[in-house]
Amino acid sequence: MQRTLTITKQWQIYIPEEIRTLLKLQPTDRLKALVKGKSLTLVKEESPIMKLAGSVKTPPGLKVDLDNIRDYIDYTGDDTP
Amino acid sequence: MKIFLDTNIWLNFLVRDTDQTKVCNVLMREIEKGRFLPYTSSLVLFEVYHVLTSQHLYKLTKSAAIEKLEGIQSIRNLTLIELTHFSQAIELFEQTKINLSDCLIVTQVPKAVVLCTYDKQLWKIKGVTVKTPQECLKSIG
Repeated sequence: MQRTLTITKQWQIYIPEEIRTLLKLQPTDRLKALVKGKSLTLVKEESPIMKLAGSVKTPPGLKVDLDNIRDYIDYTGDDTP
Repeated sequence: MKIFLDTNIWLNFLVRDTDQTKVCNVLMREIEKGRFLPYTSSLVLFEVYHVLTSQHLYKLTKSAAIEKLEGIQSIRNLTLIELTHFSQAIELFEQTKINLSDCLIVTQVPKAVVLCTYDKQLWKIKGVTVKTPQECLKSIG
């Protein structure tokens, strides 16, 4: 897809609806601007926090009730690095 | 809406495929959009670190766990509460059957801030508004 965008006097650009829909863009999403020669590429960037979503795997065999995790914390022990 | 995120919310967000992973992801996205003002505390982050690195639990290395904590601190508009109110926590501990660490964390929650947690023990405490992520999301429509 290719579209021509116009820069406003306040240096803002409007992203057409079809591009927003295609890329599932939402207000406050972040875009990384990459400049190479005379070209400007905008790449949708996941926020640092959302990159962490589901990033921890449960070790095989571990059954733990995360909703009541304090029941599993042994404050007297030292089993952490 | 101001929400204080408890240890179990961060863990359900970080750990893959728990029953609550999806709803916690939605909650974090809404925070990133600015629809909630998030609070948490150094005690909560200490517990997150402990659970992630414990050899009985998730067994993450120190550096991997630090990476998660740094990511948590990057969430939009986060207020990190460092102050504890030990006397208040002891008083609450004496009056209830809730454990001391819960009491310490509850007394860190500022007034007018909703405590967002799945811990049903905390629902019994008077004077603190407690909601699950589902209830928080429902309240913003």
